[in-house]
Amino acid sequence: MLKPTLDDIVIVGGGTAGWLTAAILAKKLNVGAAGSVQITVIESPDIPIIGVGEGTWPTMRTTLQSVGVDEGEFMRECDATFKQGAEFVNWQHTPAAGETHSYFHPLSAVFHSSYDFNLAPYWLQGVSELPYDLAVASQSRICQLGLAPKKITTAAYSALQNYAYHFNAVKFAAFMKKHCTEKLAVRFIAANVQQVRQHSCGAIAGVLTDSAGEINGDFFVDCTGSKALLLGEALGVGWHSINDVIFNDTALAMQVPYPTADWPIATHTIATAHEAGWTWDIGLHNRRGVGYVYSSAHSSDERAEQILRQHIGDQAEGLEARKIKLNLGYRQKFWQHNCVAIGMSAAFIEPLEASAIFLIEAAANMLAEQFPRSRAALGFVEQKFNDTFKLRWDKSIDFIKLHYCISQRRDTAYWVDNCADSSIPESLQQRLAHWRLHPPGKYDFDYAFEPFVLDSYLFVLYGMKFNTDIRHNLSSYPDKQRAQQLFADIDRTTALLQQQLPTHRELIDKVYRYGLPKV
Amino acid sequence: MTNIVALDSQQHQHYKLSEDKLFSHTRTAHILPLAVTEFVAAAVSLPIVFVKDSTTGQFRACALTGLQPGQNLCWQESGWQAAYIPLAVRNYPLLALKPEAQSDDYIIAVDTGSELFNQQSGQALFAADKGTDYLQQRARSAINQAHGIGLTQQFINRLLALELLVARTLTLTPKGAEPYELTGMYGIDEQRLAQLTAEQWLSLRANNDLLAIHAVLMSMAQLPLLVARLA
Repeated sequence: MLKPTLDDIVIVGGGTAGWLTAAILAKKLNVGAAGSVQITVIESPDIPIIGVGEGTWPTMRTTLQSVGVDEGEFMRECDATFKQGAEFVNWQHTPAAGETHSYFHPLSAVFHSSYDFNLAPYWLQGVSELPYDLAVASQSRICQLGLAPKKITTAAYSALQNYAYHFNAVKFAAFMKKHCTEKLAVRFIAANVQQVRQHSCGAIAGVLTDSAGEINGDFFVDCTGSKALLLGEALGVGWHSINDVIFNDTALAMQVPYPTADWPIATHTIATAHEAGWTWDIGLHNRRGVGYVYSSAHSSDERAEQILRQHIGDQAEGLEARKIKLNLGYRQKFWQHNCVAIGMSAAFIEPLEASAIFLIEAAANMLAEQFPRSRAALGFVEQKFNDTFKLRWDKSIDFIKLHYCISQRRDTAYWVDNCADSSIPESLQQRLAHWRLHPPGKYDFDYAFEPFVLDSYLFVLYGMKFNTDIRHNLSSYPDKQRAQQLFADIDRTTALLQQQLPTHRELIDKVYRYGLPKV
Repeated sequence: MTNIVALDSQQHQHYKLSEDKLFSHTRTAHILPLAVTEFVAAAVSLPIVFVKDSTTGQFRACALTGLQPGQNLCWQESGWQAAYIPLAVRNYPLLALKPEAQSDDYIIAVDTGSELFNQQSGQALFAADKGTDYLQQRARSAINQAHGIGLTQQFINRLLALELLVARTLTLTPKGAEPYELTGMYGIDEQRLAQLTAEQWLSLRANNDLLAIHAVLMSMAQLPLLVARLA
């Protein structure tokens, strides 16, 4: 007879997923208090952290603040910088030799708040002459200018322009590990898991390790990466591949040092489209993380490395590229019995739009909020968790696919295949059909935990020059004057911010030196 | 222009310091740095506020002397008007700095942009390559102030840890002009102070912070008097 309460949580695997989950659970479940659960993290001393995910969402600010991390200390320890969005270069059409074009997907849309008053239909009518990203958000311009999202006097975790982070994922895992073990009463065991032991009902009883014996628990979190030792191998939950929709299954990554210590740091991810994938360029404090993520069905590794080196230029000389295989898809179930998978063990789409770490936070938050202390309650929470995360991953896949499937690029089979209807999920096709005649509105995003919402879709659709023909419906948009006023307000805010904000590099250097004020 | 340079017995051997009893260098200062060791004396004539240093974002304790940048209501042509004169004002143009954050020693520096520092009038600073008694005495006062600023930073850190600092906005309506808000000031959160646990309260007592905290709170009574100086 299994004991009726769940008191011991064992997280197998460290890394970003393991330690972030540990911190969120420990804080929300008040670990260390009388009667609280106990959390143990088993991390292999031998398996290196994959550490691809170097970009977060703004939710990370709330997460770190709520688990009691000092923002300045975190940034200094993890080579972190401020991320204000992404710039998509050469996605819209095939660039002529030497030509580039781009659009921004910024994290804040000042005054835009398309939920109250959608500027898109007015922009479509030409009320503003600027490109969509610059017309509706000051932040696109702030990114272009390389300015910071806040000032040194702005309180920690507060923002003048919404922001997330770029950081060194290996250092982040180490930082969170220290925080969890020193401040959040999380138990840490360094050992390799060799075998998973199950009860007769299938639930996990414990794991056998090489150097720490058998570790039992009541509830298990599988953070073992794409191996999915617990949920995949032991419980046999299958994998739903999405390689018919998303093709980028391989990445080549490089660490490119700055030429000088005062080199400007980009304050957004630069995602540049190429013949069989795209390159990311992420500015950390001391180096750039640059990589090419591509479809192995459309490109050889040699050709991919050539593309990456060409893209980086002279600075790539003498640097080595690290190859990473990506398993695109998600588990048929994320939670089964007393085991939940979080991180790459659960799902992975591809690095575009940095959804990986965000979905770790989302999963850990839901697990913490809904954690069943009674074994009898497991089934109900399992069902809810599986339903919501299947929906969230499907919606994330739709949004990622959007970046590809509305492109005019047809220069390679890769782009032709990406734009073929057969590769576009039905749910996305339906929406796109509607949006050809109506600008997206808030009712298109009515799920409470929608990972990507209206503003994000608008930035990508109209950044990609998606054609919404509203000529039949102009009478529905009579507020031209108000739109004009809002566009002018945005221009004024942009000018004001330009005067006030320091450069990104200047602020980062100061944050590392002085930290950020608590209030 | 302010230009802070370390005093050097060779380079500055012919320099003198004169004194300005009117403290005219403060004529455009709306805030002046204050050390926690001065709070009790300052509280009877000046509001004590906390502001963030615009270059470092770090909190500093200050006496509020004006209601907008560039305005010192505690200074007139006849000189300094408030009963208390902050140490930093009295020590000017001298100040003591630590060469490194961890160092125990101070170096004495001077604002060479000040007319008080000159070769014509005042008290000599050096004689036969050594600091004069006058310089020694002024240097001691500057070190005293620097030490006080160090204690103030520790005091502020304890206030922050207990979440006792809160933003204060002052809405001002000058006669015949548009109302405006003086922002960027922080004060002590009285409500939060009342909610501290016994343990937290005792930690304040152990650090001898209670007197300083209450001095800050009582100094708020000087705000309306400062506003009245506008007339």
